[in-house]
Order: sequence, then structure tokens, then C-alpha cells
Amino acid sequence: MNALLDIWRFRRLLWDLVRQDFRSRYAGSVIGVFWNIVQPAAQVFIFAIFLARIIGSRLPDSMRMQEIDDPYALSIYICAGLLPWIVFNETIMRTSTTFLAHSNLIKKVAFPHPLLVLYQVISGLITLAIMCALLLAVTLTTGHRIGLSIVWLPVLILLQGVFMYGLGLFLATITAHFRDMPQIIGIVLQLWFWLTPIVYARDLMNVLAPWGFGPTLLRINPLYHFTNLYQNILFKHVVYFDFLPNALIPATDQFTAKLALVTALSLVLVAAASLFYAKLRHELPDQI
Amino acid sequence: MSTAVTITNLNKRFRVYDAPLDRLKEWLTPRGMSFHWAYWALRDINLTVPRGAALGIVGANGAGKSTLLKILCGTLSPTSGSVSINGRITGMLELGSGFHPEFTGRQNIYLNARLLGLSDAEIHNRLPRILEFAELGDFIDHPLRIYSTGMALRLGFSVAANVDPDILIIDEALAVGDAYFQHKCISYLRRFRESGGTLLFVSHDPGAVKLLCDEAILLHDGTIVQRGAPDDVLDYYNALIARRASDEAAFRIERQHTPAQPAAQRSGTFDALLTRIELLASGAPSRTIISGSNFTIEIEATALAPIPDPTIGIAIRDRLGYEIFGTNTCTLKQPLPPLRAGDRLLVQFNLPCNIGPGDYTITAAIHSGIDHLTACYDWADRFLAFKVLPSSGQYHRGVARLPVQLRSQLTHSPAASPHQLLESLLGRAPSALSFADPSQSWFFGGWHATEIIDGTPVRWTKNDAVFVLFTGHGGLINLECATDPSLCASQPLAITLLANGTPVDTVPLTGSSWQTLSFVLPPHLRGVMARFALRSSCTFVPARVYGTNDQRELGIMVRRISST
Repeated sequence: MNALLDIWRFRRLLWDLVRQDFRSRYAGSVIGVFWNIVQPAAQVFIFAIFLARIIGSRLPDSMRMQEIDDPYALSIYICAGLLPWIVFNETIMRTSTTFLAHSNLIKKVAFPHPLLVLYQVISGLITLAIMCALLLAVTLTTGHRIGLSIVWLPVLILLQGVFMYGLGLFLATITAHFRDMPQIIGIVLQLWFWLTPIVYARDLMNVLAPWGFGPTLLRINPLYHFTNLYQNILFKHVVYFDFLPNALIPATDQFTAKLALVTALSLVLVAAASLFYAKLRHELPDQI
Repeated sequence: MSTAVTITNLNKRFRVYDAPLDRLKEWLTPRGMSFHWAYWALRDINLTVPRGAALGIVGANGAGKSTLLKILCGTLSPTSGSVSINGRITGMLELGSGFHPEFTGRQNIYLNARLLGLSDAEIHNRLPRILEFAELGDFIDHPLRIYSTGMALRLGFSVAANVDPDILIIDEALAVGDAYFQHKCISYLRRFRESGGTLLFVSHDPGAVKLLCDEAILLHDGTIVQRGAPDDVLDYYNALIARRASDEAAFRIERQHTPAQPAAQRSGTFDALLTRIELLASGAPSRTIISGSNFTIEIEATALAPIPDPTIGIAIRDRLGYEIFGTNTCTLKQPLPPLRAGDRLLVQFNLPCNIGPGDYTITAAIHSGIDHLTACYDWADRFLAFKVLPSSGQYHRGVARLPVQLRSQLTHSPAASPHQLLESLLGRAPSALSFADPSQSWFFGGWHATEIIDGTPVRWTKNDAVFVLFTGHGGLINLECATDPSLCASQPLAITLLANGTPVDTVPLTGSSWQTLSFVLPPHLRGVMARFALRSSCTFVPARVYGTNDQRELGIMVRRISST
């Protein structure tokens, strides 16, 4: 509760930090702020166009996603999972070192340190929102329709923010005391990417984990639930518009259950991370 | 008097891990196992600072000064004990730490001020003051990365200074600026103190501590070893530095407080002792010396151990602790013989008392080499106080009595009248004066600076505003003037014209609007160049009448003076 009050009191500073983040990451370069979009867009382009072509043509018929009957559909499917992942990946990498990167500030000025995590999360969410908007534009221009379930997109983006804040605060606190963390996190994130059905279909998980671990691995992977929700909102309507064009809640994949699950998970994570941070808070300036 | 800062039983421990793995072990093993060692940066600190006080904090590097200040600022948390702060506290721990190099100076002001906890409205109100104090000109809208170190420092200080803190913490911040900015900062800090602010000041510069602080504490190895007047504390600090330099375990520091001796402080290895320090005036012990007379400082030292290269030195300090003179046998190039244990050495410094009247102290020391930093055996700080009395024959001002040889010569100028003399010295004056002339060379003392009112340059008079004019043969001086309504509310103001110091004519000034007053000159002042003065019967101070900031004493406002 105190932490929330602190954040409210320093809201202008928070907004300044976000703005500074956007402007300064590419400050001094010619197109400046736009690099924030161009960079991930290039990554999306590579995965969505090339990988979709390669995977789409090389996979044996049995493993192909049966629903896909359109050359753009696979690209949209990949983007729907990839965009939240790119932002998640970058935000976690950045937030985990944020206390170290701002050690000068922490040692010299008294202010609530979780702001340093929060501003990076917010700046990640803004990037994500812009990229989702671009994806929706592409969806519409390639002749697909957008379903009513799109109203869940802002909720989902916000939930991802809560999740990233919790995980980021937790990792940032550990990293302040244990400097090997960024390297470990980098490796874990790579592994995590390939364990999450983003650039391949969910059914492929059974092939990757042949001893029946596949479903279990998916069930305990919060990012699978997140990306699956995104795919349901951004992609499933592309495929299923014939069936449920205007359903508020996508009828497949236990949508509501998953939404409830990630909500609960995110809130628990934030609470745990806040407790963890509060416990080590007093030692933080000593150790960085 | 209320307190601004109260520190009770404060301790600060840093955990030091020799290897990163130790930290991991500690996290992973059950509670109670520790793989670190504790470094106590502060131990059992108790301190109260009254509101409005200025406390200097001195100590060697690593003594815990910065840790203490950071705890006060709230960036570090105490391990145990409590700190209570009354009022808004602002720390200048390191100026510009919240700055971003790619942002302009103006954007950085906002960023920095928000970090210090100011709201937007507060920043907006303070912005003009911050910009004025920083004096960055056009640079304020350029990115910070092109600033010089000094410019960034000015910006940081301006922001911190204008947050209007109740308690200000400064950690060596002034050391970076140029002389002009340091001066500006010091005068700001003085004003800050006058307005009731509390100052905590860390510095290695004894002059700055003496100048700004009325009390000081000495931190050593995390504890407060002394608290008192800045002079005493800095002396003690000096002794501690000497101990560190000589690196002798046997080094001791003692303090003596006897009525005859002003807080004398002894430090050194005590391999030799100063057994007697005496002041002799005309051969007899004395505590008063007439300025300009000769006196002797007699020092007796006894060696307790062999000393191959002894040096005995003296220093004279004034009431404020500034060293005004110091010398020793080494700098005088009169080396002393090596001492065996048990040797007793008597040294006399004979010198003229060429210092001004006042209170002084004598510090004496026996050490090796040119200064006391290599090996100091006994250092007696302000061992003895004495008074210098003014000599009956000659009075002078200041701390130094410089020998003066005076010559003067008198010649008489044969000029006939004072008018002609004035003209021969200054040249011919015009018969009409206004303030439009940039040099304004015919106006002398008694005027305030030129102001532009309704497009015309005018000046206010103080009392007796002097000008030089060549008078016309008509015998009139016409004065275009006005005044403030408050001066002529009840009765007219009487304006008197004086020529060469004697009143010539007095004319009433009725009403405050612009009008022309005419003064009639006696025949001998017609067609000559003369020195005149204007005197008004009454003056006013805008600050008192209208409550503005204008503290000037004002008489009448003059636009033009002419003679016909």
C-alpha cells in the first residue's frame, strides 16, 4: 500500500523517466524515437515472413496447422505470439539490471526504487501497444476481420505489464546482490522462447518433449498462457470468423480460465516480489 | 530551540563479501551461517543539530562522513539506531547525479527537481530563480553533454539551492567550481543560514569550515571523536593526520583544559617533549606585548629517545584560528644538533611583534624534517595565549604592522579664485545638464543610478547631490524635478541649493508631479563655474513606505538642470 502511495506521489517523475527512456535510447540518432518501433518490426518481419514460409512449406502435412488456409494467416499467428514475447524478453533483460544501471541515482537521491523497474515496464507496454496496433492494421489490410474479442487486448497488455513488473522487480533485486544473474537470465530466456509455442504450433510440443511432458510443460509455463491468449485474440478470429465472428469470449482453449489464471499469477508474483524487495531494500544501496 | 536533526545510537554496517560465491552460499545455506565480514562504517553516533545551526563534518577519507550524510538524506538505511529529521532535507551529495546528458539543461532541471520531490507547480515557480542562479545563458536549451564540468555543477547547485530546503547537506560540492561560483555559493549559504536554514557541511578545506560553520564534529573510524568549535576540531584533525603520516603506534593525543591555556591539545609520539614554552617581553615572562616591540618565544624540549634531526617550530594564530605566521629551525636554515635521550634543548625565537592589536595564540612543535608530517614528536596546539596591545605612539589597522616611511610635499596653486581653479582642473562645464549624456561627468556624489522613466533618463538624489555647472549671467538655476507623493503629502518639500558648501537659495516643491524650480544666485555666482549641491528637507525609503524590496534612501527625482 505504501509502495502504491509512493508511486502516486512520484507519478510525474515516472512519466519523465518513461519519456526519457523513449527519447534517450536512441537520442542523437537521426530518426530517434522511431527506432523503438523499427527494431522490433525488423525482428517480426524476419520471423513472420521468412519463418512462416519455411515452416509452412517444409512441415509434413500431419503437423501443419489444419486451420491455416491463407499465406498471411501463419504470419499473423506468429506475430500474435512473437510481439508480446519480444517485449517480454527485452523488458526482463533490462529490468533485471536496472538497479545496477541506476546505482548512481540510488546512492545519491532518496526515492522509491521500484520506479526504476516500473518505468521500463511501462515503456515496454507502450512499444507493445504500438506494435499490436500495427499488426491489427496488417490484419485488416490483408483482408481479414477483427473479432469482438479484441476488447480483451488492452486488458491482456496490462496484465502482461503486471507480470513483467513482478518478475522484473524480483530479478532486479537478486541481480543487485548476485551479478551473474543477467547471464543466467539471458540463457533461460532463450530456452524459454523455444519451449513456448510461438513460432511453431502447440501440437509440436509433443514432438519436442516426447515422454509425455509436453502438456505438463505447457501447463506450468505462464508465457504459454499469455501467448496463447494473445493468439486467441489476435489470430483465432482470423481463422474462426466463420464460426463466432462476434463472440466477446473466444470459444476455444479455455479462454476465461486462462485469463483468470494469468491474472492471479501476475498479482501473486507482484506481491511476492514486493515482499522480497522490501526484505532486502535496506541493503540495496550498500551492495550496488 | 527546536532541533533539526536528531541521531540516536546510530550504527551502520556494510557486509563485505570477499568472493561473489560467498553471497550465494549465504543465501542458499540455512539461517545463521555467514560468509561475510562486517565493516562498521559508523558506530554509536549520537548527534543533535539545532535548527539554524551550521555543523561542519571533518575527517579523513573513510572516516564515515559520506555514509553519515547519505543516511541523513535517506539513501542509505541505518543498521540500528534512529534518525529523525524535522523539515525538508536536500542533499548535494554529488551534484547532477540525476542528470541525463542528452537532455537540455531546462529538461534536466525538471528531471532533477522531480527526483528531489518537487511538484510541477513548485518547479514552475522556482524556474526563473534557478535559471538566474545558474547563469547558463543560451546553453540552458542545449543538451547537457556539451556542458563543461563547471556548467553542470552550476546547474546542479542551482536546482538544489532553490528547492528551499530547511536542512541542506553539502558534501564537498563546492570544490569543483571556479572562484566566482564558489564565492556565489558561499554567499548563498550565508543567506540560507541567515534565513534560519540548517546546514551540514563536509569539507577538507579548513577555511570553508571556519567560514561557514559555528560548530564542527570530527569523525574518525566511524565514531565522533570530537565536537566543538571549528578551530578546536580542525586542530585535532590536523593532529590525526600527522599521526597517520608518521604511522607510529606510539602516537598519542591528549587534551588539556587548564585556565591558563586555551584548550591546548598535545599530539605526537612523545619521543621528545616540549617541557616549557614561554613568551618573553624585554627579558621577562609576559602575556601582553606592545605592537611593534621585540619579543621572544622560548621553547625548551627534552628528548626521551635519540632524535637525529630535530626541528622546533612555532606558529602564531589569530582569534579565528587563522595562522598568521609560522616558522621553524629548518626553514630558518639553522639546523639543531642531534639529541640523545635526556638532552635538554633551549631555543629562542627573537622577533619583532609586527602584528596588529588583538588576541593571539602560540602553537609549538618538535618534529623531524621540514614539517610535522614525517615524524612528529610533540605538537602543542595553541599552548599559550597572548594579547598584543596598541603602541602608544602609532595606531594602525589590520593584522600586519608593515613598516611605513611617509613623505609628503606641499605646493600652492596660484589660481585666483575657486571657480577658476575648478575650471582649470575639470575643463569648462556646460550650463545645462541632463542624464542623457552617457559619461555624466558633471555629476558627483549623492546620486542614485540612472533610471529611465517615461523614456527620459532621471536620477534620484540621496542627500546632498553634487553637480558642477557653468552658471548663466541671468542668475537663475532651473531644476526639473519630481518626487514621491508620500514626501509632500502634508506640506511642501523644501529644496535647498548649496554652492561650495553654503546654502544659496531654498525653494518649496509642492506636489509630486514634474515641475521646474528656479533658484536665484547671488551676483558672485553668475557667469562662473561652481560646485553645487541639492538638499531636500526630507527623504523616504520605498521598502518602509510601500513594503517593496527597495532599500534606497530617496529624495527628489531630477531630469534636467540648467542655468540662465
